[in-house]
Amino acid sequence: MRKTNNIITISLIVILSISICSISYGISDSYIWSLDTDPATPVSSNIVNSSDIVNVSTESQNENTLNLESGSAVLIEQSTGQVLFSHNEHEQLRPASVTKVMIFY
Amino acid sequence: MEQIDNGTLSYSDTISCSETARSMGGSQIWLDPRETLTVDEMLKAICVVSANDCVVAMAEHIAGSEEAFVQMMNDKAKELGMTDTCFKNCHGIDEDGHVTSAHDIALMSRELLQKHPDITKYTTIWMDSLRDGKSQLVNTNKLIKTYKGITGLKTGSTSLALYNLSASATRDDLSLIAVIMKAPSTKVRFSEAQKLLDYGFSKFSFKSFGNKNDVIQTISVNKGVKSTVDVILENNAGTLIEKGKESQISQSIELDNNIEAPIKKGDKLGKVTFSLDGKELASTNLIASNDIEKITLFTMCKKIVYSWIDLLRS
Repeated sequence: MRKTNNIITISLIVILSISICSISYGISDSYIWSLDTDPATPVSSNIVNSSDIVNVSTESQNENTLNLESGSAVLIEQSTGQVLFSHNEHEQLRPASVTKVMIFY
Repeated sequence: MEQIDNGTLSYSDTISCSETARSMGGSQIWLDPRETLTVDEMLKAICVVSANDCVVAMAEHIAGSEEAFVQMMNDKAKELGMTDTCFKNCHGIDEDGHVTSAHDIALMSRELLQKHPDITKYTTIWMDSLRDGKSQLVNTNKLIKTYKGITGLKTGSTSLALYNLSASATRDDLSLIAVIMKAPSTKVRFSEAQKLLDYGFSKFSFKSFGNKNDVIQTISVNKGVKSTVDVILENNAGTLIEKGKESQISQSIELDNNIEAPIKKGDKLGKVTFSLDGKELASTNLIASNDIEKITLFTMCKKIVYSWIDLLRS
């Protein structure tokens, strides 16, 4: 009985430790993007490894002064096209329906 | 919109739906192959609810097939310098190799809004209906309802792309475009686009100095049938400036010294430059407002005779 209790206690501690570790990785805001055919890793991924981040220039990373969570962002003035803010602005990502802006020509 | 501008397509043209268009999936208004909608109705459905079936129907109507239309899209992207972009389809449903970047989305959004501002008639619709009220449309871009000055433009999301938005807004004379890609949730994409726009509007303003064809000066012309010509702005003159510094902008006008006839309307005669602390912010050409022909002996005599007649009358 005592032995069973010990095993249960140890198992609980192990499970708790793993949960705490996975939660702390899950809330990280690093994105992993690869240009090959693998789909983009979803936000809830437990894997965070800075060497997996490709196509992200180190300059852009430092420009995220507005602390945005999104993968990339840019702000421009419309008449001149002048860029007022950028964060990973050249990272190639899937546009989804924003594609349709192009069909309006 | 280009085809509407050049008359190839009109808002009242009707478009039917092929089996391919009908089977698109994703966001759609459930087009039936037996029904037709006008271009106006299709644009509404695409802008407000991002209807994939309407996009394909329009693409097939304009180019004959979706593939041919996608080629047109890629050609246009290349022309605009969208070097991060490759389109594989016209609706944006996930497909390998169908990619772009925030920078390129900003480029194409800007091009659309500058060349075809009429599109905002559709992109600012919050709620509408089609098919005599049977289909209700509510805009996927929630900023249309909440953000002062919002003019568009387009949302996009899939399970792989996550949440994207190209948002455009105008306050006073300043028009901004904010692009968000791969936001983790719909709430974050709208709040971060708003954060970007707020940042832009709080930090910058657009100082307008004059519109295209405004007369800046009247200058003398040598050897012309008229002795002066109005010098006008070739384009709208204005510059982006940090808020608070508008009154510090200095303006300088440079004009050619010896203007001699013949002059053609539109000839460049000088330029106006706007600077701040010695740094040039913007410049616009100054051009002749009309033709001035070179004076000849005949026109000189005619002028003298008219002067005499005027003198005798007064």
